[in-house]
Amino acid sequence: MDEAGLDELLRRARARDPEALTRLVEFYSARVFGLLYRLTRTRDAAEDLLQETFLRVVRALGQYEHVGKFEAWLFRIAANLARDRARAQRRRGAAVPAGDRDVDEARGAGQHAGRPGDPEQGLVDREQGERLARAVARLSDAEREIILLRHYSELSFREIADVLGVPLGTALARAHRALARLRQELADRD
Amino acid sequence: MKDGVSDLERIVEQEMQLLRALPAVTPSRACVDRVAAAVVREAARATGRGPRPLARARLAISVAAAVFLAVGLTAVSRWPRVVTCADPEATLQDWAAAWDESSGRLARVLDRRWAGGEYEPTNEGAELEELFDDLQQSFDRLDAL
Repeated sequence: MDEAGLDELLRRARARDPEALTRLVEFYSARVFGLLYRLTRTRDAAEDLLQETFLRVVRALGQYEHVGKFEAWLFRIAANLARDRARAQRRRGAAVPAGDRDVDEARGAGQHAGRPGDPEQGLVDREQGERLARAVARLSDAEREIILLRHYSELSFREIADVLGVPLGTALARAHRALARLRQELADRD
Repeated sequence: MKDGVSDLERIVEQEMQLLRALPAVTPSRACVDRVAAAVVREAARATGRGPRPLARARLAISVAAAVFLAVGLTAVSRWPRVVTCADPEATLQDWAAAWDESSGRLARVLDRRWAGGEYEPTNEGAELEELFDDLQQSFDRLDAL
């Protein structure tokens, strides 16, 4: 969706036009869900937080001024909800869901990057993707958050640094460290 | 320093290609429909009750205005009445003189009516009424003092 289209959609959504609100949910739900799923590691939690994210958006849409990127606001809400949930879980002493199980769960619902018509390559890609997903799940919360925000929100690192309230240098260093760790993990398991 | 950050940003952006292999996970159609329905419901509810912060502000302003009015009226009703009297002593003397005159006139009218003096029945009502008016004015002035 181009910027003018998004402006128009947001204008109608602010006027509480049901069709515009539905389009907004449909347009962003896959990316927001992807982020929430990778951060919470369970489909149920990601679905709950997806709904909560959009409810918060619609409640605050009247006050939202479309000066920055809408995505920055949307993904900030989603990331904050996931962070609050992780914090609450830690306080309760609840076990963090195992990444492997959730990646298996995602296999049924997700799509993989394999090329159509090349089953062997598809299998390799799928295997590599699952290893990568397991490696992402093993990163620290802060490292995981920054690279997943970049991957799903498509915001620049500068915008992500704003979303997270950290200097750009800190955001970049954190992402660089996370990616180095992922590469290392993947290399170790080859 | 700025160049260093830009270089790091470029490197990290290239490294981010690694995540392209991450399997895509999508919400089920039922989930998206449920979220959309919840959002539309919430918007309709918000329309029905108006923007919540505005409604709260309106209520707060109404309550504050009512309290202010009640407190103000109570305070005003308890204020001591301010008497503007240039010369209280002279006013009191005037009043006493008027009172004497009224009392004298009343006595004369009553004498004429019941003690068998010179009695003119046609003027009695008007004279008495004038007398009571004077008395009323006297008491009003006294009250004002």
